[in-house]
Amino acid sequence: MSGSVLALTLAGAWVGVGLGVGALLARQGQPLATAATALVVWPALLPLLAPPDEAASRPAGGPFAERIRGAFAALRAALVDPALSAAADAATLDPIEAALTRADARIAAVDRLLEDPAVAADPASARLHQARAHSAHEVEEVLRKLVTVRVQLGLVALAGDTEPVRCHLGELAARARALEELAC
Amino acid sequence: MNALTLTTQVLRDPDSVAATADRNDLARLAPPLLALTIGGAAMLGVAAGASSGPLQSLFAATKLPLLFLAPPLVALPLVHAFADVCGVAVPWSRLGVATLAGLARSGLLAAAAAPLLWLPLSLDTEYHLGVLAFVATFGVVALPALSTISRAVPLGGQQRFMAVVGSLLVLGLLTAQTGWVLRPFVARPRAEVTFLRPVESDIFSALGANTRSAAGDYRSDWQPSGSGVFRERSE
Amino acid sequence: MSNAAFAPPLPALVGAHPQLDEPAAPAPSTIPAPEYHLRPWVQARAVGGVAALGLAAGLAGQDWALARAPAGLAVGCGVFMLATPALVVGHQYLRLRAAPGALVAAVADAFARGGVVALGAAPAVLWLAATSDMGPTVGLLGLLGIGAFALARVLANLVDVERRAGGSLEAATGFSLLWTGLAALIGLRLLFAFLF
Repeated sequence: MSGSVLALTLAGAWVGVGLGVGALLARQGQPLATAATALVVWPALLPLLAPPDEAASRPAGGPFAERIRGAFAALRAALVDPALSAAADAATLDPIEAALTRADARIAAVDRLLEDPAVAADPASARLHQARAHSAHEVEEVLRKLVTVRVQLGLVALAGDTEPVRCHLGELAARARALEELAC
Repeated sequence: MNALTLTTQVLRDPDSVAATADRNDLARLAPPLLALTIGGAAMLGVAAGASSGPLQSLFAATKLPLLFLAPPLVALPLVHAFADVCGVAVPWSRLGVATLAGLARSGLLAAAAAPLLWLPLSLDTEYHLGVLAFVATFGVVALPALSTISRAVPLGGQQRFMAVVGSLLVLGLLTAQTGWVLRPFVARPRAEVTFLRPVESDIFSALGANTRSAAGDYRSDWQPSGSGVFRERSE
Repeated sequence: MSNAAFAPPLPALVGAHPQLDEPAAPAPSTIPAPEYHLRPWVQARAVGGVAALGLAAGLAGQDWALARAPAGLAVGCGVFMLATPALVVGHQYLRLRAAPGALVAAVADAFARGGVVALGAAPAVLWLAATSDMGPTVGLLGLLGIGAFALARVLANLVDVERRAGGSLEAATGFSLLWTGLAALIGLRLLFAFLF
């Protein structure tokens, strides 16, 4: 390979790879400025092409994490059953689970704060305790109602009436939204 | 984080930009950091080429950002490999942000150093002294980038010192050779202004000859010859 | 961080297995074969890295350099094939505790780490080779440096596997030093034979 050809090849390869990386980033939904930057500094932007780390993006589990995962897994398993699948769309559970998980993570964060003796001794911590207890009670209520929904699913299987299931899921979705508003 | 805040943070505490950087930070910060690097390096290039007219300034302003960017990017896999084998896990995204932040810091310092370089060059300094002044200025402003990249490697691991020293040596070598390939930045007096000169010899032999010339020693008969892919082949 | 696009980080040490931590000292022949994983992806990456380094050093049109590009790979494989049997035989003959599989894994781990560095160095060497005559020189220096690092790593690994097996550290260190010296001499001899 002659010198100039190799040099041009190397330069062209750099720009070509940069264009490719930029195109992939743009398809990924990255801002145009970031994709354009890849033309020059694509070696530094290669980590953006890797799939995001699911475990890292999930909030740290709190005191209700296991129960939330178990409750939704059981409910989804029930909805997979052909006799019950018409009762509700499993996708409607996703925002409810996400809201509960975030609420659980916030409760865990407050628990970590309250472990600090200085925070626990502060007079304002009484209000923190109260807010924590209220959030925990709301999460417990939603988890209890999830069990009710599973009972309702059984009734659907027998009577074919999907309305109560939809009503309960709607109520749960509203309570989940209220959990978010508590946080705001 | 707006541009002014980022600029201030990059200058005062670049390590904090990279310390907790993740993918989202890398995507968000890459464009402004690149812009700071290119802008600052271009300003230094304008100063370096000013003694030979606006065209040389334009050429130098175009090439100097490449001199800043290419060596760390080419050496990035090696820096990560060094850290990996020494038992130190440094995420790629953190290394990427640290590299770009270090380069941006150097770019900003280059912009600040531009008038300091321009002053002696504007007084018709002897050519070889001018080249050495440019090399010295570039070295001073580029060192912070190297230190930011090396500090991106977390503490711990075995032979971390070896990993850091090895990375810095390779970065220095690549930077020196890239500068030689992209010359001229300071044009010879009465020479034709060109964008690039033929690639001849390598940086070490050329720097030695230049130093001797600056000291007035023209006895050694060093002549550049084509090297690398650009060398002349005898058929 | 571990995902499909990037190789998983190298583990702290290959060859540390629960069986080796047992306080009892059965004869070597009764130690169950360790369940060390060859980690094909890591070993392939190491081989690719050394090959890439050689290619990068020789690619800039210098025919003699290109012909010697596989030197690193040849030396690595040669040392592994020639010296490792001596390691295993000598280790067992001296009644040291570590299992043969752990010894081989220790050597393979050092090779893998050297290969990772070689892979990282390949772009830099390619750039230098394309823009100067320094390619072969830098490639050779890099190979020597990586070889020295790999041998130092092997020494540390061998002492570590013996320690985990509950053996004598003094005996292990002395034997490992001797073997590492032998491997270095073999490597240098092979390198010179390949290059000149």
